[in-house]
Amino acid sequence: MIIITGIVFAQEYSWGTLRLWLSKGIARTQLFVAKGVLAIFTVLLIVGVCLLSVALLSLFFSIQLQHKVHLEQLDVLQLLLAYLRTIYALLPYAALTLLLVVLTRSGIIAVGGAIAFSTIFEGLLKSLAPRLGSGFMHIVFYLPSGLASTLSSQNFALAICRPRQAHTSPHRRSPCLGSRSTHSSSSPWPSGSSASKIWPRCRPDYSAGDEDIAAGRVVSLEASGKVRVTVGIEGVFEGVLCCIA
Amino acid sequence: MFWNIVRLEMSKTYQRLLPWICLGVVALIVLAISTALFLYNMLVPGYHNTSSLTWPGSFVFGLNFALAIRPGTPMVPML
Repeated sequence: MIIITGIVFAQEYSWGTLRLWLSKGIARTQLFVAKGVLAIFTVLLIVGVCLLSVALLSLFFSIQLQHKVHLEQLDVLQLLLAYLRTIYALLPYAALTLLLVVLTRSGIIAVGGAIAFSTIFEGLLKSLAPRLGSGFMHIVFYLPSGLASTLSSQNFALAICRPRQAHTSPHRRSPCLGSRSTHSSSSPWPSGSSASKIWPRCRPDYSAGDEDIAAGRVVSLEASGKVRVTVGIEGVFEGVLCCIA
Repeated sequence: MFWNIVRLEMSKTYQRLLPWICLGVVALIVLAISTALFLYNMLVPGYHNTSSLTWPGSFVFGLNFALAIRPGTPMVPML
């Protein structure tokens, strides 16, 4: 996405077509907004392709693993919201690339800078912030990756099974969760805690113990009373959110 | 006028074959990772995290994958 945005904008400078556009009386703002629309469309396509691929695959895997596809468990509104959230989380990177293109007028510097920011700088700051103090931890939350982590944690509402029965036994596990055994029945989400405020739809009846895996989300209750939530799908995407319970 | 510019930009970018090839690469990577997870799930005893493979948990996997490829690594051929 960064690369596409960078190339689309920077090519106009390198080929000199931007001057041609401007000489024809087209406003600079119009041109940039048009390219922004193109960038958003690209993001829509990328996220859509990812969703379509997993949707087709999950039909096959569900039949293989569960012998049935629970189509009724998909909340279409939640899926649409999650789709929009993901697109929104990707936009800061597009905006950063655009800024670098305008400042440097070079596609390579813009793309390289944005990739370096998203992979090296953000990663370094996230790993160093806890050592630098609590003030720096707050900065991490306002980085684009912090925004992405927070928004993607909301996407886990999709993985939560909608109840098919009015009453289920507290010891009976939902088929959405793995087959690991539960350790305790006490909820790690205190009512009104910051955790339950951030993830209001993340299983308010959550009955896992110290650690459990719920749709790729590892939740662990630390001795200090902090709830540590690792947002990760098998190493593809990993972000850590900590909040005081 | 504005929509003419948008249409021109769209056709300039998407009438080429490369963006579609890159999207195909993205789909292939998703398929490869999901299949690898499925095989790992089937072959490794004691590991049963099927929620990210089955309906509807797999959608979370897809969305997070889209976030993870934000630098656009599969789009490198476009350069």
